Amino acid sequence: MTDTKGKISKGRQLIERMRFPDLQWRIPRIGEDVGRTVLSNGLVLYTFPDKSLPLFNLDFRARGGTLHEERRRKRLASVAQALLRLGGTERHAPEEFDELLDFHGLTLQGQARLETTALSCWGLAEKLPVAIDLLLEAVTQPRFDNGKLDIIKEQWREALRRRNDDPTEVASREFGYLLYGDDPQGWDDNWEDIEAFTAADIRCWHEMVWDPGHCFLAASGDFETAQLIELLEERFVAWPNCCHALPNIPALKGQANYGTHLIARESSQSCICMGSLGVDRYDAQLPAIKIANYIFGAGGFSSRLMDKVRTREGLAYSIYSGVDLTLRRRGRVIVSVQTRTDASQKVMDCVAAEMENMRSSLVSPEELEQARESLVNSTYMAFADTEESLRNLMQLEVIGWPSDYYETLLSNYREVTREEVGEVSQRLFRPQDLLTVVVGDRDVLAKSCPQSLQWEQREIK
Amino acid sequence: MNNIVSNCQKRVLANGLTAIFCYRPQAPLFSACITSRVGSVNEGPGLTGVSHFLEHLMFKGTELLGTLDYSAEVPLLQQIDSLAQERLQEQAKLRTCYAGGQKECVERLTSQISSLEAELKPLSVPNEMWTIYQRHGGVGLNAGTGCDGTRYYVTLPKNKLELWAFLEADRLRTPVFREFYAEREVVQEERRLRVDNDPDGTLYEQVNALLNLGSPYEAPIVGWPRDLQTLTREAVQRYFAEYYAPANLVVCLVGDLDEQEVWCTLERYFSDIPARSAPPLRFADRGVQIGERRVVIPYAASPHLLIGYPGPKPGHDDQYALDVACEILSGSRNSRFYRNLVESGLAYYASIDQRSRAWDNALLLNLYPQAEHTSAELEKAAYREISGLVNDGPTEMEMERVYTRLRVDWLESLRSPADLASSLAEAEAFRGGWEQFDDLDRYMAVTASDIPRVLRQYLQDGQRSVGEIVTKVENQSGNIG
Repeated sequence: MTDTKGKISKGRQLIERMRFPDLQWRIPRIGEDVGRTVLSNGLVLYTFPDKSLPLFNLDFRARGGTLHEERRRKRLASVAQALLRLGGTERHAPEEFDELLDFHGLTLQGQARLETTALSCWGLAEKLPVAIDLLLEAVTQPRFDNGKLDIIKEQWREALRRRNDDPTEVASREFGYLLYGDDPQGWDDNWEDIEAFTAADIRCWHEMVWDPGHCFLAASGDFETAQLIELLEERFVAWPNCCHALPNIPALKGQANYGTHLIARESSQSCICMGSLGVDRYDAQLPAIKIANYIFGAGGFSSRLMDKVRTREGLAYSIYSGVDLTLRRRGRVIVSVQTRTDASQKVMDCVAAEMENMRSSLVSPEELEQARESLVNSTYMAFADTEESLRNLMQLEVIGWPSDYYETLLSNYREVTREEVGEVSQRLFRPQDLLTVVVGDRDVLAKSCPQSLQWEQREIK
Repeated sequence: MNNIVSNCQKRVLANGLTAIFCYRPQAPLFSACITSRVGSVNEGPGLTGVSHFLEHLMFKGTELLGTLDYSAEVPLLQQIDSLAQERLQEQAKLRTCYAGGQKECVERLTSQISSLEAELKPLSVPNEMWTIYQRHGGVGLNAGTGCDGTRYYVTLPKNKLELWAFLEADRLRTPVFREFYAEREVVQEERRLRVDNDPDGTLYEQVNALLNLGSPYEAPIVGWPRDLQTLTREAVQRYFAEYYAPANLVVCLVGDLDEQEVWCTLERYFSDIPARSAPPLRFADRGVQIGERRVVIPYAASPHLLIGYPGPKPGHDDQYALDVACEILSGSRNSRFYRNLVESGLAYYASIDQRSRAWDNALLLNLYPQAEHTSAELEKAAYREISGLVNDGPTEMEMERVYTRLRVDWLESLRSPADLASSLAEAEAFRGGWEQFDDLDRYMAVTASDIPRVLRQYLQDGQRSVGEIVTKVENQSGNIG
């Protein structure tokens, strides 16, 4: 038997002998590389010119998202955002507005998220002034056409009918509902509520969210910053700050459910989500949490879950863990995996065992080094593109993180110890508090995994 | 644009490997794309899925990487191969009614294979290539297999050119297909995920088979289940030797690199991969279609229609005219499908697009009806919209809109070094030269009168292959579908 202890591969030895030229690379800084200006109406503008191609990108963020919705108003933010895009303006009927965008080669799209709403527009640099006018028109003079509202509602109705077609989506959605319970993140979609939305509801929501006092704009691409600011100041006179306040995000009551829930579906593969409530964005140990999550299941093929479940056992094509780190309140710790039905219990046991390992023994120095180097280097790489860089930097202010967050993060990664990874693992990975959702074949599971007979059966809409 | 063309260079190494470099200094990084001209079209009966499986195995290490002692692994791998061959024969006997295979024998062989695999584990360093790339800042690390080609991607900081060259040349020279049987299970899980338990994946596989009946494009890229269960390491090694010859590869680098350093590094690391003759090209012509083909699939999911038509030969002018026609029909919220099928409440979603392939293209019409309407109603309405465009031709406004959109999309596609590397490699491997990546002029040459002509020529009733998902209610809970 070959003695392999402490050995590394010949290939790795050769790589370690390579000498790579120094690379001076830093995160772009606000005030140096990236401009930040507060416009007269209160809107915060970030700029990062890039003349490599004759294109521009405007990326709006407004504070206010689905977590601000009321119980009977779930999906109001999403419907409002869709209608903002499709419902025309006071000057232009919906079809005319679409024609104008297309004629100028402009793309406009938006999305409601948990705490924010996004609206982006991009196209040829020569069309930037037109884009600003059209965006301003959409935001300040929306028509909220009733006919288009009906179309959007019907689209939602069909989306609800189709939402159970993909078992992976079913598992993920139901996991969220069960985890959060009676909470904006736990409320199920309800067609009757969506059907009841009126143009007046939408307008009310829109005016609250699209107030320049809590809006941000990232502009990247081929333009002169001074000219852009001048243009925006001139045009945005028509968009005054009304100081609309947002409702409070409700406090989280805690984890609503534990145990294993089965959603029966004839299939040859189970879709499994396992996890619990995690941390919020104010957590003092975020660098260690990122490292722990990387080692556990977020580091792709470098992670323990991928190594054990896919590489060594061949039990899954995809397995990963996710930890929400950017929410104002506790986000999810989630493991998502699909495996052939008769291997379901084995995979679930494997995930729980790896959670226990993360808690009970220190990660190896090699694992820590791998995670640290990988996270540091990929953070730099996330700033290679001006558009992406700008979005990342603006997001810091949107969620209230300091402007030097990334630079601090990079140095904090270096300070994380194996003991701290163990400490945060105690908080993140809690096999005793696990919520598990399995979408799988009840009959096959009953034969291959008798424990499944004890699982809670969940009916879904 | 001119800047990009003037910054691109091509060289062919003595062993036949083609390399393209494009200087892009916008960020201190580079993107690499290695394309092999091998995909499902090269496989044939019994070997379906091998190109894709091989792509997975290319991450399993080499004689230098992924192992602590390759020489100790060799005899164990050979024993496993021999037992696997024996097991395969026994399994084949079990599947016939006359050959008298023994289940116990299969189980015994499986157990022996497992024991040998356990002996291999302490010698291997799983996923070492991935971890090295990640440690050195590699992002976008991935690979993909299509009908005609297999691609390997990564983006790295600019100072890691030598690392990239070492890792990629090493795996092209001496790959070792470790963890073979576990990975074969992984591929079967991928198939269950993307095809067997995904209504869209199931429908696509069936329509693709109908549309390409008798052609090598008939088989799914992931492979038919029976073939996946019987692929052996030896068969995959033979396949690799044939299709990963340097003359069948295109390497493309885009980024902030010094040109001389690029050529020197490529020469230093890739030129000693032994030259082998490029594999023979296979014909992939579809047979003659004598009428519409149709398949109805009961599934616990909402109704969905997918309709395929054979397209023109790749690179033909008609390909560009058909892309423009597709854009007019479904490219935006001003398109005919959106206005007349979606906004009218008939469709939840409706689109038509062209898939470009090395031998022949295909057009796919994708229709999801709203619950108040049947698939048949939507299908008829979609044909009506196509006929409307054939009869009336596009408006001037529609043509203008499409020209503008194509121009913007074209520029957008140049933004990312990774996308540009992929486009250049694709054009070099399958379209006659990297210069062909710039085909905007060919779109601009399409005229309004081309649109009715190509729609009439290619979207003929008797040439279509139609797949339909009809909702099946499940027995288990009755709550899905």
